[in-house]
Amino acid sequence: MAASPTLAPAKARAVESVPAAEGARLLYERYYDRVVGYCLYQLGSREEAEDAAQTTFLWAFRALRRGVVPRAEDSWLFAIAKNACRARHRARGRKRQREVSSDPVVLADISPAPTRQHDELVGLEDALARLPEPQRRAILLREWRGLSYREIAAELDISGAAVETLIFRARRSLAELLNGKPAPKRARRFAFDFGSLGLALKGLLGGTSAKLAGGVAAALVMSSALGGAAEQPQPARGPAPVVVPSTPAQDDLFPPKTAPATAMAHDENAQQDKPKHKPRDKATPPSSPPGAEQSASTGSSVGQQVEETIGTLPLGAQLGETLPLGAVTDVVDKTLDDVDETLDDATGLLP
Amino acid sequence: MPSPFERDPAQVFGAPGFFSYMRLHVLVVDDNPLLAEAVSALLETDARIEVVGCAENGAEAVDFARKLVPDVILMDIRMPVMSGIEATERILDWLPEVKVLVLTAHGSDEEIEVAFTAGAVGCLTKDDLGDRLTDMVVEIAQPKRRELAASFSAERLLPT
Repeated sequence: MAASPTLAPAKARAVESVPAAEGARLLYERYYDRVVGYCLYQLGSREEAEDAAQTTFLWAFRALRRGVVPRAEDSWLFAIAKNACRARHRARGRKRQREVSSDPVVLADISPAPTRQHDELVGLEDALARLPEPQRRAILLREWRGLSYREIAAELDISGAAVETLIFRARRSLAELLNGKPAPKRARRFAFDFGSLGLALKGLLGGTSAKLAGGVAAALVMSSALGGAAEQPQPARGPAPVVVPSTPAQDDLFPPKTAPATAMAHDENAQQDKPKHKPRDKATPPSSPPGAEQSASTGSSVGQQVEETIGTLPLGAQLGETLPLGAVTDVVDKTLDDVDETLDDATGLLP
Repeated sequence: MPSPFERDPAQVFGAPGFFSYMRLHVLVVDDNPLLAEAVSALLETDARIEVVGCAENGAEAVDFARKLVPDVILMDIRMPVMSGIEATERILDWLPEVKVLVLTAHGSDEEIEVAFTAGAVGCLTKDDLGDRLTDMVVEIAQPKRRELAASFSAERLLPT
């Protein structure tokens, strides 16, 4: 160590007696390690920590040159470091926002169904504007700011159950408004995906097939749960607690435990009309015969989980890119029919 | 018989007792013996590191540090008898070259700041011990390693 006699071990020696440049050098030598360590703790990455430490000393030197005389140089320096880290945090947030929203080419690439979503986005603002105020706030907090249900409850000062209801209604209303007609019973389940448009835009969804896979699994959860309750008194068939793939779409389909009950109640109102299926619209025409399902070997994780779940259903080994979507929608149709039946039975059982 | 220079350096320098003075000497201070043990075991998996002692509280840490003169001290903050912060201050009064890395379970921001003010050069939450402990210890002790590298420079090791 190039130890001048004034610099050795003692801590917190005031620098006011030395000129600013010399004080700056002393500060740097004495505290650089600790400031980097502190920034590392705050920021978690070495590069960012070193950047923040540079900023800290830059600010400190400027202050010293302006004639600031810190009373306790170490806590003064750490206060500056704290601010530098906060500034970095903010910059990081801004950068991420820009990266998400700016590049149309990237957006087009990562969106699962660009044209459709573009069409839907055109009406989105109007649709949002026509939502009742509480619903709009809840859905925006959820999809735009990405808050959890609990955080939304705290923000709006309402109960968690109320948040669930609000968001459920907001999604349904949005889907209806965007379709220009009341969402039919089946379409509605896939209309949940409209609620997660923001997520889809961020590229969090793998693709249409992933959504369908989520839908299949979710439908199965419902049918097995409700079917077990309503129809089959002996519950020991198959793995009852179904493993649901946790895609973002999945979270939106059934966020809380109480969601199926809510869905059930609402389905009661719209029993009559059952027009065209949403999944058909999204699916590309089946390009290969259903026999191609068997050829699968490299199943995606979602596909594998769904397969484990389904067991007996004639779904192929994978739901990834190579499976013809027509086959998937057939399965979806079939399971949704089952769900409908069990739902009818279940609602018949309700008091 | 292969010369030491043809073998894997980690094998050579990591062998017990061999070049012990080239490894980083670490003192672990934690009042929870289980955690101290775990941290020691984790550190010992790295050939660059040697745990030279474990202390149960701040007072013991000061005592051990004077006797063992470690390169790095892993210091818990909340301990009986003497807190990690006070111990850090005392140790650094005596041995200003020692690097103190603070371990905290769920430290408040103020507590962490006080620790840094007292002279700690790093802070690690107990949650990411497994991922980052050894790297962080080595990183913190970088200057020491550089000194070592300088003193054991090539011309001294390999006679021309």
